[in-house]
Parts: sequence; structure tokens; C-alpha cells
Amino acid sequence: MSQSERMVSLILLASELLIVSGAETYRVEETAERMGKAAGFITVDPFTTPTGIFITLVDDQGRVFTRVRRIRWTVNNLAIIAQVNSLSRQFSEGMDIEQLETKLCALKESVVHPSFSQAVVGGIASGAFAIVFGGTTLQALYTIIIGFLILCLYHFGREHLVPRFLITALGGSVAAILGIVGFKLWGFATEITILSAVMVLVPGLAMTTAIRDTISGELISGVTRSAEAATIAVAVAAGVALVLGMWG
Amino acid sequence: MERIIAVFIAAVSFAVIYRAPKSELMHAGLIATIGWLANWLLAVYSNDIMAMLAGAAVVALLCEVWSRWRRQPVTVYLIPAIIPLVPGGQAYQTMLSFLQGDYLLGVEQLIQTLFLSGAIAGGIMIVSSVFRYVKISQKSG
Repeated sequence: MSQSERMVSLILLASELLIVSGAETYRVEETAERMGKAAGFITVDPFTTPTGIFITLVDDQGRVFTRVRRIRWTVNNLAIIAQVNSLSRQFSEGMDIEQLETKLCALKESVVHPSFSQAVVGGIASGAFAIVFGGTTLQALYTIIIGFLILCLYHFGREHLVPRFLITALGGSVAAILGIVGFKLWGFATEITILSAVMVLVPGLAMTTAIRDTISGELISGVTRSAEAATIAVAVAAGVALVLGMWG
Repeated sequence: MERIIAVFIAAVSFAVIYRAPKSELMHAGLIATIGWLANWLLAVYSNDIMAMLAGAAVVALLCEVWSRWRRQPVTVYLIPAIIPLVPGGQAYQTMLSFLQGDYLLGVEQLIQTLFLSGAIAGGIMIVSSVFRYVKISQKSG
């Protein structure tokens, strides 16, 4: 494999890591361009969407390299975005290819699937929101358990390839059922319990990235991600409404 | 006071859920708390939508400054910090009104929810576009 081909693979790997971790489109393209230029390619033309990368590079001998990579899954991992970002900067400041390759491959290994401790932290987030929305301490403790259960359910469903809409709606339903149970047993305000519990399902990354993509002129990614955020919000509402409609 | 601490804890937890770098967790929490406070204080003196716009703008501004200071991507701070501003309460009321067949109130609340989310987007857009313009003009000039 020639040096150029190796470099093309590395650029593609870095871009893939960025998209999979939820980076903005302009960041993926800027990173690919930065790395390509640093490696001595004459032109670097990346085209990135949230579900795939197309990239064409021309090296100094006029050879053209074109690759396409389909992205089928994503995780939320801001740390990987930060690390790939700083690696690409170090590379353009003179880091050698071997080092870059080892570090990128190590990062690829570290893209982990959701863990148990994350669900616990998610529970704490829900509990904290219960206080923000004006709930009592006891209610916050109850909400911690619900938030934890919802995230466990969500991660379990994602690992078994349950469609995201369905699993999100289910999460909303669980929140609503436990919200009603909490009211019947201890008199906790249903609204506060449900609201803070479903906060863990809020599509924060899709929302923020949609806005940032739109500003930087990446309209395809912007629209796709807005649609993603809207779909998830509707899914949560549908899940909650289903339960409240029957028993509320 | 306890609500302020709760916002901080919530934002830090979200930073963990989105796997922000460990060294940046507290910073994200701090930005979220300041933004939430700005929104909350302004909501007392003006209308909700202006307060939300200002709150989101404050968050976006702090995130841009922090990302330059700490040399991190903006989203590391922006995503956890914007979540406490999400108009979940209004969205919930909208759903409830439609569920109870009160469409008139439902539409009113739906529009309020949409405007509040639009205000968040607008706040981020204004600040981030300015910073993006500065960055581009630095490169070419």
C-alpha cells in the first residue's frame, strides 16, 4: 500500500470517528481538509452527511483517490470529537503518520457502548431536574430511579436494534406509568416526575448540532438533524400521551 | 438556591452522559448554571421568549469563549449547557391540552413551545455566526 493510500484510509478513519461520535459536519470536513493538506494532497474534497462520507483526494503526482463510507450507527461521545480534533491539529504541526495511525486506532477501540454507570448518572440528572422544576427531595430520589430505569431500557433496546422511535416512546410510557404510580402512592406531582424523567431522552446533541450545521451552511445535515430531533420529541410525547390518555 | 445547585448537577450529569472530556465536566456545569440564571432573572423583567433568547445567547457566548480558552470543540460545553433551557414544561402542557381535547389552548401552547425553541436556536445562531465570521476573516486576512 502506498503512502498516499495509507493516508487516505487514515483521513477516512478520522472522519468516520468524528461523525459516529456526533460531530458537526463542518468540523468533519475541516478536519479532513486539514489532515489532507498536511499530508501533501493537492486537493481535498470531502462531502459529509450524518449517514455517510464521500471524499476525493488528488496527490502531487495527479493520482485520484475516492472513497465512500456509510455510517450506520452513532454514539454520543464528545471526548472522541475533542481528541480527534487535537490529533488532526498535532498532525498538521508535524506529527508522523505511524503515531497518528496508532492513536486513531486506539481511539476507534475506545468508542464504547453505553455502560451501567452512565445510566446511574442519567438517573442523577433526572433527580436534579426534579428539584429544578420545584419537586421535593423525596420526589427527586424517586425520579433518580425512574431516570435510571429509562436509560437502562433505552441502552438495552439500542443494543438489540429496536428502532429508536419505538424505544424512545417506550421510555416516555415508563415515565408516565411511574409518574402516575408515584402520585397514587405518595402524592408526588405527576407533571414534575414525568418531565424530569424524560429529560434523559431529550435529543440534545441532534438539536445543538442541527443549529450549528445550519449556521455553517451545511443545510442537508441541518435539516436531517432537525428532523431527527423533532421525531424524537414527538416519540417522547406519544409515549407519555398514550399512558396519560388511558389512565390519566 | 437549591435549584441553582440542581441545575449545576443536572448539567454535569448530562456532560457525563454525552461523554465530555473529564477535565471539562465542571466547566460545562458552570456555563449551564450561568445561562440558566440569566434566563431565569430576565424572565422576571421581560417576556419568556426574550429571556430565552438572551439565556441561549449567554450560554453560546460563554461556550465560544471557553472553547478558545480551553482549546476544546464548542459542542463539548454547548450540548450539556443548553439542556436546562429546553422548554420541556411547555411541551408537556401542549401535549396535555391536546389530550384533553382543548385544541384552542393546545395550539396556543404549541406556538409558545415553538417560539421558545426558536429563541434558543436564534440565541445560539446569532452568537455562533459572529464568532464564525471572526474566525473566517482571521483566516483570509
